[in-house]
Amino acid sequence: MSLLEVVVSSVVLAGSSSAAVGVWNQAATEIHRASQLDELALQLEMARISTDRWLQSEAAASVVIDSSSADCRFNSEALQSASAERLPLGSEVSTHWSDDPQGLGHWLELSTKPQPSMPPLKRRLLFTPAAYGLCPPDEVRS
Amino acid sequence: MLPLALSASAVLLLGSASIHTLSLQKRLRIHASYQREQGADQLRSAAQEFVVASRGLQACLLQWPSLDWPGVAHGCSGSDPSQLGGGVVGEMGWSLVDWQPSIESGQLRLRLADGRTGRFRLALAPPTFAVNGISDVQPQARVPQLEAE
Repeated sequence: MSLLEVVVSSVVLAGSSSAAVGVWNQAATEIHRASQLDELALQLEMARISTDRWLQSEAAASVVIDSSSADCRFNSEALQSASAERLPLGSEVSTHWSDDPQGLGHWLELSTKPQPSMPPLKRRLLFTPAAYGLCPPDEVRS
Repeated sequence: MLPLALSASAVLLLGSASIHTLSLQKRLRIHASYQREQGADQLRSAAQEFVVASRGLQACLLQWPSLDWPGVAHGCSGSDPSQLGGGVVGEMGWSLVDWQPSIESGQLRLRLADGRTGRFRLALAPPTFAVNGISDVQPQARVPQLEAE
């Protein structure tokens, strides 16, 4: 074993170790980001499911319907305040309700708060009182 | 000693490359799942619009399969089956694939303009056939869009 061989072997090993450590660090960062992304996506899904279950409940019917409207609509303010009070949202999730331009119902936009080096996740769904049986029954027409 | 060093280096580099690939795959999988959920949201929104359209004069149609609607529409005074055939929700067009009623419920299948299809179970309240509940979407295989569409 010559001195040259020892030197070359050391250089090769040191170089590859350094490169491997760099890639491992990058992979660890990527895994951390992916786990965060997974957690945020789960919080959005939980918020969606909670909203859906809440609108299915008897408690929602008495609170969120605009009784002054003949068209069976949600009361925007009641919907926003009741959902903010009663729905268990993750700490990183924010909600925003907006009227549907066609008057069908309300859109719920769920989004995650901005995170460093990660774009915010967003979900957007239409909710209508009719789909939850919250509207008074129509007359039989058949 | 050099062969040993080269082997050790190769193991280190290959191992770290594998870990990196796995981490990227995990992130891609999460993104794909997120995009699937966004697609499911569009289907859920379309189903909500279908339910709104099925109120009033159209509710009578829900007691029949959608294939029979053109023939039974005259028995449902004032109803218009085209109102339930499709629409646009949140800038995404949707169309009815089919509606199959059964006892106090029915199965709804919708297709988005991009070909994604989903199935829902709607709870009905006889005798008015008003919808009083909707299941979560069950996504189905994407249907390729014909050029003629």
